[in-house]
Amino acid sequence: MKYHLKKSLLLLIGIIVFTTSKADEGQELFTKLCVACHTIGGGRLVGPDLKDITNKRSPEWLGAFIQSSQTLINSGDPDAESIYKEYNKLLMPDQPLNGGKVTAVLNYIAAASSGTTDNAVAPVRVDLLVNATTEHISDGLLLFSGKKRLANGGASCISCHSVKDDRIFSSGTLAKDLTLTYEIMGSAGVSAIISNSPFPAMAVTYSKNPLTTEEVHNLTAYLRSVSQERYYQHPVDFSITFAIFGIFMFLSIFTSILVLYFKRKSKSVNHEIHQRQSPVIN
Amino acid sequence: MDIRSQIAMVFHLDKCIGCHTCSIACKNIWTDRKGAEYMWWNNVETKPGTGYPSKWEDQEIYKGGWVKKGNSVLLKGAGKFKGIKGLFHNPNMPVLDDYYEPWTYQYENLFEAEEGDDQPIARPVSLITGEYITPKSGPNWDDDLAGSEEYAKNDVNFKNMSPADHEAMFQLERMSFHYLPRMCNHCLNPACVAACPSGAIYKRGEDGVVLINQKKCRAWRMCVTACPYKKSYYNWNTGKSEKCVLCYPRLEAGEAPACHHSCVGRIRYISVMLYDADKIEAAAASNDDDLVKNQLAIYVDPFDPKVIAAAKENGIHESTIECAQKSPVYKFVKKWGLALPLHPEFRTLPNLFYVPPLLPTMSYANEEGSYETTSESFWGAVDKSRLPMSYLASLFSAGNVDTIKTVLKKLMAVRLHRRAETVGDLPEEEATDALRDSVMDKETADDIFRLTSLPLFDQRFVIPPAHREEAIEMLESTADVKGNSGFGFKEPPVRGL
Repeated sequence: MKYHLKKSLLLLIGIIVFTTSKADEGQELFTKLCVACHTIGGGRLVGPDLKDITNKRSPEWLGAFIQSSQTLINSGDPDAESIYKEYNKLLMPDQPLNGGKVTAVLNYIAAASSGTTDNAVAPVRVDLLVNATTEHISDGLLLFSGKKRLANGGASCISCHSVKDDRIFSSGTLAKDLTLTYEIMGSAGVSAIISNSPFPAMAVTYSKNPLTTEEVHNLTAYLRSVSQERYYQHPVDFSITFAIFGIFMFLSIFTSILVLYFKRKSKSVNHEIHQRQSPVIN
Repeated sequence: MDIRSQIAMVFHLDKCIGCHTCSIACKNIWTDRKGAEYMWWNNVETKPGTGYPSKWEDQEIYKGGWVKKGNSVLLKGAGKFKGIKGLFHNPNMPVLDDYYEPWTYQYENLFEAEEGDDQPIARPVSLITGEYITPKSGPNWDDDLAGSEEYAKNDVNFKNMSPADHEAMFQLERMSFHYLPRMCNHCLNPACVAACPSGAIYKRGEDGVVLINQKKCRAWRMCVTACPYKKSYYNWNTGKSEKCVLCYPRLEAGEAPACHHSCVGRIRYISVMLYDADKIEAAAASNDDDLVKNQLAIYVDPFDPKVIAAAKENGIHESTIECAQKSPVYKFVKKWGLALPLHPEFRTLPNLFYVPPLLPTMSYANEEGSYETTSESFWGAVDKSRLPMSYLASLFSAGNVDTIKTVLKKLMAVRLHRRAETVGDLPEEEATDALRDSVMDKETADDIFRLTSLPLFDQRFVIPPAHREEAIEMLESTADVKGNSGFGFKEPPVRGL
């Protein structure tokens, strides 16, 4: 009897520890991964307000959407497709969460929606750039364009991203244009993505070379200035020039090869005789 | 006057039997190596024929030799602009198939093949790839007019010949050929030396032998294209070019080069000639018709006291001058005027001279097309020679038919004279008239006959001593070496001091 009591007690404690820690883990994951784009009861950001989402959709559907929204959309799910269209065809990045972690996040959202958790104060948008000066902005430009190295040796933003800024001549085409990012996401969203990116490629890139807090701040400040100043920027588009120059260079190199190889003696003077001889039988 | 000495050669083509012994002697000594299998520093061609490498005489294909420009000459295939244009690919280079792909036979299969229904065979194997091949051509593929429709008819020397003459040469009654042994001419104005961007090729000061420094060669292969005789070859294994060295180790030991030494027909003569280096540029830049005349004028009379004095001033040894005076080459080329350079129009001033083949006609097709065996004279007239004069002129005198005619008439005069002397079945006048036409006395005719038909070994090969002892004295004191040579020990003796 005593043995059974002990066993039940242990089980009870285990369940309590497990569920509370679960809630904590959910909150942590939400702050880390979701808060850049979502609120709970705070209204729309980049993505929808998630208040009461757990009542609206099944946990399986939500899990699938969180893990890979793209897969769900491509599979022809009508709900997923309509959300995708509603939110400007901006894909939600795939989240590296397994089943347990998804449940934790969903639990946290449910708790926060109903107001049962103490910590479930819905995150609100805060302006992180109240103290930003022109020095911060110009430092952000240097960091963005790669003229100043990132402290931990990460790749500069310009390697993949572009912005509409006269001061930046040629920029990356691998990832999104960031001119409007600040407008969409706000300072909290931008700095969250820079410091702890939800996008797989970016997360991998900076996992070993994280940015410092100061760098994140300055880059965010720079992106804000880019977004504000965009109407006054008239960057020259070199793409046609480059294309024409490329074609010109190709043709000139090609013709110079033709000139160099003009009248080259490339085959034997006995070529015709050898061709007429009976083929090799081996 | 800048007198220098030059090793020069004469090949008497009337005596060549086309046995290729010279080629084999050379191959065994020098080019029986990996990467050199396709090289024949010495080869024997059948003329008419396209030769080896095919059509080597056609400088519109290979761009070898020099071209006249004003009072000087320029390389045909090289130069500042052409050099840069062809810097990375050398557009006129012969390819391997212009020579031939060397091969051997799988002889061991004859002994080691497993027992079967068929006789084992030795299949040909490429010496370059090691794979089975079917030989497509060889270094003397057109020997004795073989495949004349393909090869002999495409002889480059027919370029300036009328189609009728061309056709006539291949009529059965007129068909004839002669052999043309070829090797490096060790030219006075070598195009290979001028074309080498690395400065690896040089003409030896003491005897004019042209050599390639294997340490300096950088595989540009400009010499391969620049040499109009195609006698510089690229060794694909060592990555260096190679050419005939005129067996200089043998020469320095007083022996004739292997090809000369082994010659069965004894057609080859080698010796030294003195020449005036100041006249080279003017001679190389002369008009086509004067090329032979002006080249021969470069070689000077070794008996002239002024020449001897100038030679000694240039450091030419007394013994070299003596050899030049006894030189059979000087006699054939200068004294008798019987030997001519091969393709003087390449303007390299070659030092290998050929006595052209007489190839007299004993019978010919007359105007009605029937076969005429009777002729008014014993050997027929030189004009009716089976090989058209223009063909020989294209080979030996840059197209100047008169030069060839003069030489052939001299050769004919000697024959008529000797026939009259030894057999006596010719009218006296016929021989004397011929000698008079050639401005030749009986003694000269006899001398020519002797050096042509009955020369002794030492008369054919008059090689100047190399005086290596003097070269050694320049490097070290011989007194230091004296007493240091002789008996030695591999291990020091236990006893003794």
